[in-house]
Amino acid sequence: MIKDLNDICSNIVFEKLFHKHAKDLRRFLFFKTKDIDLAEDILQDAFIKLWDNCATVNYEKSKSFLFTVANNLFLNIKKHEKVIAQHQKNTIKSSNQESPEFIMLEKEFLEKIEKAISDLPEKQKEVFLLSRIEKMKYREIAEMLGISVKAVEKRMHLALLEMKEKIGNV
Amino acid sequence: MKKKVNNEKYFLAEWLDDKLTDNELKEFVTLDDYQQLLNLRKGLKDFEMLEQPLDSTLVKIKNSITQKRNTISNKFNYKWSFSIAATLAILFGLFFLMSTNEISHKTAFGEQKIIELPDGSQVTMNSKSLIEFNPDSWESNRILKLSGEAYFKVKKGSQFTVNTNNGNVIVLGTEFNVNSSDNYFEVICYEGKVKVEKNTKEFILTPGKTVRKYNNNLIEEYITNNNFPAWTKGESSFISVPLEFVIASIEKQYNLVVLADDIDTTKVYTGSFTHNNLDVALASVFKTMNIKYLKKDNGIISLE
Repeated sequence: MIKDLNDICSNIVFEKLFHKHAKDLRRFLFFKTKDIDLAEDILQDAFIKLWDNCATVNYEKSKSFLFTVANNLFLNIKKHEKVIAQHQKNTIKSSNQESPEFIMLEKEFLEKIEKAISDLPEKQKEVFLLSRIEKMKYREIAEMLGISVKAVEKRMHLALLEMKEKIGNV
Repeated sequence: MKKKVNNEKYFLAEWLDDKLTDNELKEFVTLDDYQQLLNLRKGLKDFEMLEQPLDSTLVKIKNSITQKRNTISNKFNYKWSFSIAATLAILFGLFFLMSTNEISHKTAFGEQKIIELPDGSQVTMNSKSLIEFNPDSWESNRILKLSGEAYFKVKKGSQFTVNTNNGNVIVLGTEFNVNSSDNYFEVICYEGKVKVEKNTKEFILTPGKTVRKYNNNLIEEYITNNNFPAWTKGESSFISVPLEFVIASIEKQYNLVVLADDIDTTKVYTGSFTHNNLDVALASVFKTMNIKYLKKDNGIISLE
């Protein structure tokens, strides 16, 4: 039983690991690449690599395996980009390359936003998340919560005001 | 806030919902607030992306793992062309130039992929589609093979040809959609001019014009009003299409098997289904057609 729970080659364990780490890994890759699609691709590749090596990777080490592999994949792409850039005599504008400071700022900004959202009053937070994360229309939220569309809009409006005050100038 | 806020109008809610433009927002707030709000929205977009559910990612990973078992021989191509390339457009084009073989792109169930061709033309592939071309001769010879469905945005230049088992599509520089599967062939022109060769016949399409042929029916021509294919925006839509093809499309999108032996699949369907929610999709096709459906948990849908 114990052995099964740690066997990455089992579908259930693999999926559990995915749910445990995928979000963090996507976040990590997004800050590196600044490109959500690329982050998504590397994320997928990292988990495929984990599956390929499921028999040899230790369960406890799976997280560090994933992050290491993802980081290497990212570096390989950068390296490849560089080679091509030289090949092309630097005609490519490397728009994805942000300075580390910039990435820090971005990250801090996002953390501020997350904090501001979690600090919202419960009712505003509910409406806000339904709208922005669940992608529900104001009308649908109103129906679901049994309130008027105006009330939904009001909560949304106040939520934005609140966040703007919290975050202020960047 | 610059102006007195009208309590009846919650403009920030409207603005975030794209009902109010940035310029209109300026009317309501100070310049300083306006800047802050733009920043906030940008941050929120990042936040939203990072909070998106990962279910589809897991499905793609599983698909790749099963596909990989089947195609170990083609590992190199697979790796590069399937996993990284779609987003690295420039890198992509060069990779084509440097490799010597035919390049092929394949999409899995429910997957859509945008690829860039060496000349900068863009192809959006719908699920379960295949594209092949030779990057070495691309400059002089813009020919590619397609099976399945794809939406093309072609850069101006020499003749650009899409070969399918059902016929050929020839253009100079334009936007168009080609859907070619076993017994179904459809070409829609969105911009410019498109020439379609089918058997010995030739059709010239201008924007909005569509030609279609399925099974042994005659070739039909009709007009559509959209500016782009609905499927590129998360929806598949149909105008008088026999159910068998609508079902095939659902199967490709959701990786399902639909058992339709007990119903008349020649009945035509007009409408659309979403790519994001299976239950809604099934309801919007089968409920409207008055067909009972039963969802089994092993990915099989039976119709009666």
